[in-house]
Amino acid sequence: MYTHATDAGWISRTHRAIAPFRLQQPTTPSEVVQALIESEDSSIIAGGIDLVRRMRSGNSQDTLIDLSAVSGLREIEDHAGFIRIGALATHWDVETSPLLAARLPAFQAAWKTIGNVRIRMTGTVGGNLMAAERAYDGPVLLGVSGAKLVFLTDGGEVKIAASDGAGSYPSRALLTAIEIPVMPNAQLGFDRTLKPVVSVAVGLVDQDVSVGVGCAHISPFFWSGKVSEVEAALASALPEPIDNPMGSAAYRRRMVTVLARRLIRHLHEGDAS
Amino acid sequence: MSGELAFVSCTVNGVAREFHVRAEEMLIDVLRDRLALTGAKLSCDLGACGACTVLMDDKPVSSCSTFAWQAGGSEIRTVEGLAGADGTLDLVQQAFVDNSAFQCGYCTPGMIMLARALLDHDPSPDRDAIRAWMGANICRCTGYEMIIEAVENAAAASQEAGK
Amino acid sequence: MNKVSTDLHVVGQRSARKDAVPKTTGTATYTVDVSFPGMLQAKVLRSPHAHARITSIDASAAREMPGVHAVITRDDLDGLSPTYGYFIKDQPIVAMDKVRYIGDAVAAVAAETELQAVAALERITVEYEVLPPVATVEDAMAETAPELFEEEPMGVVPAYGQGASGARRLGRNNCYRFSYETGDAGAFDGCDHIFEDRFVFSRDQHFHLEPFVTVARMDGDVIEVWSSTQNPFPLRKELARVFQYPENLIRVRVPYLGAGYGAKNNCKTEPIAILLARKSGRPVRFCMTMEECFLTQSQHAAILDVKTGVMADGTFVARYGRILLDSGAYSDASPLVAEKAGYRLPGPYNWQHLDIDCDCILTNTTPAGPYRGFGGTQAAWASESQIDIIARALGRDPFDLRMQNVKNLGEAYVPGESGIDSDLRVGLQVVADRAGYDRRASGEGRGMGVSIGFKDAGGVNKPAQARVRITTTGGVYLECGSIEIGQGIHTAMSQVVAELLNTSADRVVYPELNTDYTPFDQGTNASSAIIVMGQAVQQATLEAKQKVMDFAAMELGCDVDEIELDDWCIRKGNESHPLAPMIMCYYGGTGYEFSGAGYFKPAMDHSAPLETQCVSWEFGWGVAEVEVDRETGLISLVQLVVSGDAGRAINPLVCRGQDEGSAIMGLTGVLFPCMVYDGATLMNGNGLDYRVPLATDIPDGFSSVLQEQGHGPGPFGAKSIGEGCMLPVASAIANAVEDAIGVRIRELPLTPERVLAAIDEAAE
Repeated sequence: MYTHATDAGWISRTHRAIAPFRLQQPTTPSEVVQALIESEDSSIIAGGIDLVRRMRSGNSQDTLIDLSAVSGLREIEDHAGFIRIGALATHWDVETSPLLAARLPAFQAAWKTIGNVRIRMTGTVGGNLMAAERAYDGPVLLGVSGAKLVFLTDGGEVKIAASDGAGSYPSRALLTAIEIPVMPNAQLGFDRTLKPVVSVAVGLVDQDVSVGVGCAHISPFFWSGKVSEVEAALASALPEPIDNPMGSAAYRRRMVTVLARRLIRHLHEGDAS
Repeated sequence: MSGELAFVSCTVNGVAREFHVRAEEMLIDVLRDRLALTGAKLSCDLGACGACTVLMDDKPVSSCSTFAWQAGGSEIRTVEGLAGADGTLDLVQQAFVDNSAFQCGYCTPGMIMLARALLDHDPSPDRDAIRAWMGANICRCTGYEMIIEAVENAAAASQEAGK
Repeated sequence: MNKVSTDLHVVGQRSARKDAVPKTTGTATYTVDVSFPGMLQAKVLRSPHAHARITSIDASAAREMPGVHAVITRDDLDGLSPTYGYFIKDQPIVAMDKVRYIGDAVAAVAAETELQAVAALERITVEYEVLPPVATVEDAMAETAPELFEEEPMGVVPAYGQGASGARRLGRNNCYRFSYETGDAGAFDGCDHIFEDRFVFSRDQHFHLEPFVTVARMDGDVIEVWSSTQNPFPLRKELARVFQYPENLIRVRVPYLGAGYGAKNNCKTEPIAILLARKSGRPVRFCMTMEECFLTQSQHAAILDVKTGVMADGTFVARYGRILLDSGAYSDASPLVAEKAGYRLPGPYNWQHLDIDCDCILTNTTPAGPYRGFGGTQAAWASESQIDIIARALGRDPFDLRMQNVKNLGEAYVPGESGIDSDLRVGLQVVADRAGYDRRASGEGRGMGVSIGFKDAGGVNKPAQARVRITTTGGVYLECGSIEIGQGIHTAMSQVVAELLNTSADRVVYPELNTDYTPFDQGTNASSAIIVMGQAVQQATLEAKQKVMDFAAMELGCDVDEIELDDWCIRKGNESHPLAPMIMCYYGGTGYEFSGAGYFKPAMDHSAPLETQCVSWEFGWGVAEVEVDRETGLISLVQLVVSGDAGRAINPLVCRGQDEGSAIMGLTGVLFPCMVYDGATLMNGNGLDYRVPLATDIPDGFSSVLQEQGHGPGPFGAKSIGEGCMLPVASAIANAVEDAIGVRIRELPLTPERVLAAIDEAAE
């Protein structure tokens, strides 16, 4: 949007000022990884929603690696104990998947609240994660669901817990899939009504709970433990939230506890909303 | 220094088109500047408002944030392609006319394409489904109720016409 | 609600709008669609500092860059009067001595492509001496605050009538004060109760989807300007002054507007585009991004201190008001907004004494200007909130307290002013009935609030001219300067003309607005089109019609009273005489055109506070029902019922669209954050982060009721529709919150955090 190339001033750019780039269109995940390694300055484009926004703000790269011709990254598959969602599955694919409706309905229902229909039909699960945007719900929902992120690197496949956050994503790697465990008593709750100030997701398996906090910090915050310890843990372990005119740290902190408590209560009472 | 050229082959409103575009060229500029299809409008330039919405393989997309090469091999539909050759308006267009579901009109081509995509996808959506879908695009003038009624009426008219 | 019983066949119809087919087929032309061969793109370099002196600026490298045809800095303004504004001409085309807000234009370039323009701007070097900024009204008024303008800019204080006055530079960064006073200050002494409250109103952004955009080119000696503007004639005059150029060599052309809501008045993109066009010899397009629009114009934030005296029985007696408008970095329309914020603070109620000051305080932020509601939004927020505060303190139902104190139909608003032309009690009952106010759940987190939004309508001293021409075969040209900005005025006026000529609205054509040909009009603003221009249009139509009838009577050898016009035929008893053959018989086979001219301006009247009486009054009655989550502070809107009085609805669908659109626009900055500033830096100035209402925000309980009470000064008794229903929304919701949880919030927006803080405070 605005670039500030010199001290002289700001220039507001339209998409027409997006810096030129070379386009590569590999057809397999390995080719993608090779392209990442060979190129000094490249970005991956899936749906393109976040990438284009950043390019309009002046981000540039020598090479764009387009994933649209790569096969095998869009499937949603049933495995023993987990569902594997290809990184190029769109939010719409997730929303309309009969498999997810049957096996992970709460996850599917929560994922459906992301964005709007234009974003959901083009944006991908992988893109949502790799954007590492503070306000995005995807990483929060996956973190509390115990999901693993599968990356392909030059050295082979690497799996990272979603709750470890974007800081632990390997570099020069391609996110190929997300694996979400399917557990018999698992429940998921999500409250985004206070966005953009704070959002809270809760993954519950009997008395074990995972709490994910979005929007309130630079990246999502996760905590896991026993239900009985949640409030005390959040009081002590929650890092100081962002404090700005959109929302104070005190309010965000307080709401994390309120929303987490509510979600857990609703799930225990069988009202998984 | 300009980027490399990409060759794009697609159909636009049912007509086969071919372009040489720079890699960084956006679909909205190909439509507006090369094909004189100026219905799609640039507004937020961030993919947030939807004033630039066109259909790409039946999906509503922000043409301001879609590279022209991403449209390769696709069917693009814009508001200019909805009416019949004799000028008969598409039922969605007619519903917007009859229900006065527009004011300044700047969001209207995008809204109509968004509604068209909805009815293509679900011919009889209930009011909640219409509201949820149409919530994707911003209108600053109407307050939305008359747009939602127009889409409801278009759905009903489509059912009647057996489309 | 139809008290006007006339047999009309076009007026009152829900006919399809004139612009329906162009806008639904993508063929409507807006300024963004205008293009010329060889057209260049303009880009602007904007200040990164909120307040700084420019010690040096060097654009020599930029001028040499590829594709660049013209560059403007302060060194390129010779021969111009380079500052513009309304009452105060303080805003430069590009910064001269100082920059006064982040985003202030410093330099501009016209190049063949945007990339080239950006590359050139990046080669401009500017040295700034950073000065301390004042980001808030309080900071700007402090004793030690730096002045945005060390020297007084060129400007005027207009003449006012009875009770009203204006003044400049009464304090630090105070660029204008409007004052209104009537009655005796001693009235406070006799009051049983005095209420003093401070209300805070946060600024919104217009968020018109079509940005500010101009295409300028030289057409021989003529400066031709295509612009997305609401007031082409005042723009022409201002450009003539700025460019020291004859008005009649400046041609402003205005196609459809992609909305404006008041933002698109006076100079925005035009001066830079024109200067670049002159220097380059090529057409120049200057189209702002949405982010630049956020840095060009906004609504006024305000602090309103309201002291109201009442009797124990609830009778309103006296009101003292001190309003501070955050005007941003340049005065823009702030003095006019100050007039109206001050003048509307009393609301449509009976008072014995009023004493109101409204000051425009400059701050180092986006300039604030006309925004739908024009001071009435801010005033209603304060006034209608305080009425509920008063009601609850007196143990009265807020609905009843309003019913007790509102003015009667026909009562002068204030001494010397025209009379209120709606029955306010009827309107309030309408919305209360629709919302089920009598049966409301009140307390336990759920509640309802009412509000009467109010403003004068028709502008101040607005002249309007119109011309109607009718061709041989009965095709009608309606030439008037009312711009189709979305409000449906082309449609409404066409229906009026068609009704008067007893023909169909399809026969009426609205030629493009071109200041070379279109009759003069002061601007499409102030909800004035149907009531001010409408009167001129009516007069022009009737004059043209009279000429037709006189001609037909002459041809038929009868009296004018014996004939009627019916769809371009003359009816005489049982006979029907088509006009076209009659015309060709008399004027020759090449035919003829009949034309009529119309004019309207309210009379000067020094006993009226604003020097002319207000042409009409516009109301928006509203009821809101909310649920408040007391743990999070989140407000859920359950119902919002609004109603406006169209007098006589020329086109009910169009009226409904205006009522509903303005009401939902009124939700911005109430339930959602407004323009959020961190000091002098705008945090959410783009289409993604700024929160406008979406379809998913509208509750099922949202509805509008269109009243037609008559009494309007416009054709067929029409009154203004377009701003009224925006005005009650904020206070209706705050009043509903108080009804729901017993907590009063006096500051917008009603974010969950703010509501929760108020709940906490009340609990202590």
